[in-house]
Amino acid sequence: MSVLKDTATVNEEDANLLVLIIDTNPIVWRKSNFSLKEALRHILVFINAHLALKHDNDVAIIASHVGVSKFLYPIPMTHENSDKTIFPNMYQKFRVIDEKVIANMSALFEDVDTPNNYPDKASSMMAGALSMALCYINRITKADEIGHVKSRILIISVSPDSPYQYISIMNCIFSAQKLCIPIDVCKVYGSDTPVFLQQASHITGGKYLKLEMPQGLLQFLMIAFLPDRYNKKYLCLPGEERVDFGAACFCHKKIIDVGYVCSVCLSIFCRPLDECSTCRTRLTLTSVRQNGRVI
Amino acid sequence: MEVNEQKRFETSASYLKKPGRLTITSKRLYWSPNNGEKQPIVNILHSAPSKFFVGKEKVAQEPKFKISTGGSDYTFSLSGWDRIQKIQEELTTVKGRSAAPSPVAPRSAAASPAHQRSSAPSPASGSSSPALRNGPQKVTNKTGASLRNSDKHKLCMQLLLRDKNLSEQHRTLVLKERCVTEDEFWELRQDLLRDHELQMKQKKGRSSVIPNIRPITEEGGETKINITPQLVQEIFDEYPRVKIAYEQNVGDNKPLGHKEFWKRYVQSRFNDRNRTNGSSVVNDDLFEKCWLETEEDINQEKEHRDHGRKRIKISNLRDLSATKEDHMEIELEKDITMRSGHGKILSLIRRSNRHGEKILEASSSKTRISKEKAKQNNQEHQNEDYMPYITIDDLNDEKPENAIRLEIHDQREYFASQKLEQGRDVEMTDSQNSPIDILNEFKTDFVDWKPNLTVSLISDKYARKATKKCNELIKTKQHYAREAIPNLENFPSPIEKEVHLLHLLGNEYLRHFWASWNSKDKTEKNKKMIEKLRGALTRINKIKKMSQDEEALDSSQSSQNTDTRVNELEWSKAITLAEQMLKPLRDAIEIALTRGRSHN
Repeated sequence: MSVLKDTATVNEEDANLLVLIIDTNPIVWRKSNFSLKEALRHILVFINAHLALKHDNDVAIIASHVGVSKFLYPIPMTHENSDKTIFPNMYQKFRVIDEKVIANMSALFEDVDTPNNYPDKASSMMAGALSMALCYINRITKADEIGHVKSRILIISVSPDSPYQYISIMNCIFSAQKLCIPIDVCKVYGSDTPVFLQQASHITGGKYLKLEMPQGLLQFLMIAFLPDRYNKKYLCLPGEERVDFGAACFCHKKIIDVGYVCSVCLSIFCRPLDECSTCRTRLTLTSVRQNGRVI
Repeated sequence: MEVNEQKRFETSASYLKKPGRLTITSKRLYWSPNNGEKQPIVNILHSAPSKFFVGKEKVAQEPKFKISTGGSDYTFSLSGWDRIQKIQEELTTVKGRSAAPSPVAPRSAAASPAHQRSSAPSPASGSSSPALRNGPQKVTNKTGASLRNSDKHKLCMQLLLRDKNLSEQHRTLVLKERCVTEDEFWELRQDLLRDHELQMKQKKGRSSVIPNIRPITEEGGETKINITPQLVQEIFDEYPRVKIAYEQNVGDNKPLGHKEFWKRYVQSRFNDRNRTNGSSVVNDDLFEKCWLETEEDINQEKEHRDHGRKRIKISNLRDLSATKEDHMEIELEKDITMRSGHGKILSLIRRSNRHGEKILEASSSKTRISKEKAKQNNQEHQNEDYMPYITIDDLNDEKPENAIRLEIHDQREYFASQKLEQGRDVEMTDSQNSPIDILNEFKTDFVDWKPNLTVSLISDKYARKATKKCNELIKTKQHYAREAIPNLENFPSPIEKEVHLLHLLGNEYLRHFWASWNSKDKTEKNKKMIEKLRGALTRINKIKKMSQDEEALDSSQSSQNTDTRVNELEWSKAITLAEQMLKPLRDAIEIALTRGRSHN
């Protein structure tokens, strides 16, 4: 007998799973005046704060690198064991996670060749990271029998959106929407208007925040992204409300207000065509012809 | 009298208080007085467009009806109400209008200008079933439209009647304020007309509502029940037993009259059983029998479908791997609804299913054909087809897919539609360092890195700035959510009306302006529109000067009592709000005017 779990309603007693996706594209981090190391320190403190809120809170961290995305935590133990000394002054869970993240991060940067061979070095593998996050959440939700664990995704992003990942990212966003998983986005550095991530947070019910001062990262994270799903309902959190939904036409890539849409593949054009360029259907526009004018 | 003209109906009627004779032939309707004049005084051809009015039976003192055609009306007084009925029938048949025959039943009001009371309880104006099932055309109060294209005119009328907003606009713009002419109004709304026409042309099938008699409560507490011939037809279709009972009992030599039969029907339990409200009914033998027989019919129908075979077909194949778990019953209450043989309980589900099946069969001719084919097949192959159970999918060849290949020109470009500026992603690499250098640098950096999380990570200054920024964001959000929405509770109605009117006018002028903008043969119209836009702009500017006292002095507003006066402060606030409301319109008009000026 399968029980449909209610993923939408949140209670005070829920355990919260935070899945953190960190954009680790070294080239873009180099461009910003905030180092990745510094950012990682802020993020680790933030993770510890999240874990400290409740006993059964949990976290998963995924690094979205150039051309590849990898789990930083949790990974099954390898044969190389870390330092087994127990620090009595530190909460064990914090220590374990911090160490693992750092170790896996350096392992990630060890491999230089794969990122180097990847053609598009300006963006990170956000689609892959999102998919991995969603699969992990799905697994945890299925394994949890009581329906106790509520999850959310937080993306810390610096690199611009890659247009080639558009469809994949959109699919992930819609799955998250279906599963009622809010996606919050913290844009640390980046001058572009990030269309995908802004839409992602808007559709799933998360918050989008663009930081003007990356040095205050920890403070922003604590104010805007620390409250879990239950507490968010009672707080008024900062976030940008206006989302740019402007569509760009497929032929010239310019933003249009009024356009023509192919009824088969839904691609947008700025002027009426006889044949759709994506799906090759013949299109006829009856109403335009009736007025006697063809624009 | 022409050669092919046939007299269909003749009766005595008086016109203008003179007695005479009214005759309806296949080609015309005419009336001649009794004093022997040969030439008919009133002569109305059936081919001319005319409208037919009948007075209400209970309200009017004597039975009379009126025909208006070509601008003149003729009123005839008759001797009895049944005559009027007859005349109506004749007229409708002769004019060859819509399918539904004349509607009157003995007790109901005659064809009033209200919506045709068809058997399907359609909602009031804005009904979605205006097509062929409706009765004679609805009578309207709107006159003054040109008759040059009567079909188009008819369409316009119908559209106006259906759509309240549109009729509101039409009334304000064309009739009251006289901003645009009728033709201009409809010129811009051609697509609405086209859609409406297409909708009218659709043939509607049979009504899918189970025939139900609905009483209408009139004033004075009486309830009236309309039984239209259409309803009668539907009842006969649905319950053939009632039809048989009717045929047996109603007619020339039979005991019951038409009226009597239906009266008993309505009161009987048969009818009310349909409505599941059996409190105030009388037991009626005639209809009890009908009910029982109907039940029997439904119960036996299923078996009759198999050509009278009452046995269910049993498959010859046995599934040897089935276990007990395949046959476990659900631990719920036993189902008592779908049992055959129990005549007294016929569930609503069964009835609805049967009804639905009938409707579907009636509408599609395909099922009939497939049924015939199935009959043939049944007779030929009495044996079951065993092949699907034996063949294993893996052993068959793979069939080629029917998919259509999507031939996208350039796959990467297709998905790059969201990217606003082209070429940015290529240039992200730093001019100083090559990517491989950066990667190596990061690699060396992160080896053996153990961050110290115990020292303070964030300086005071940045923390304060961050908090301040967050607070600002929250504040703007709250402001937009709560305070920016204006309070429109006490908005004075004269201002509101003026704003509404200006919006309507302005938008209409703008539409006409831009429609005639670049076309060569409409420069005159364009110039006219420019003038009108200027007028609208001045009128918008005048809103500032609207004052409460002037409005109160206006005679039409005198009915507004002093309760609705608001104090001066609120009035001025409302004026500012009104100006804000009109700002987009004003901007649009100004844009249009500047373009117009530059064009000329």
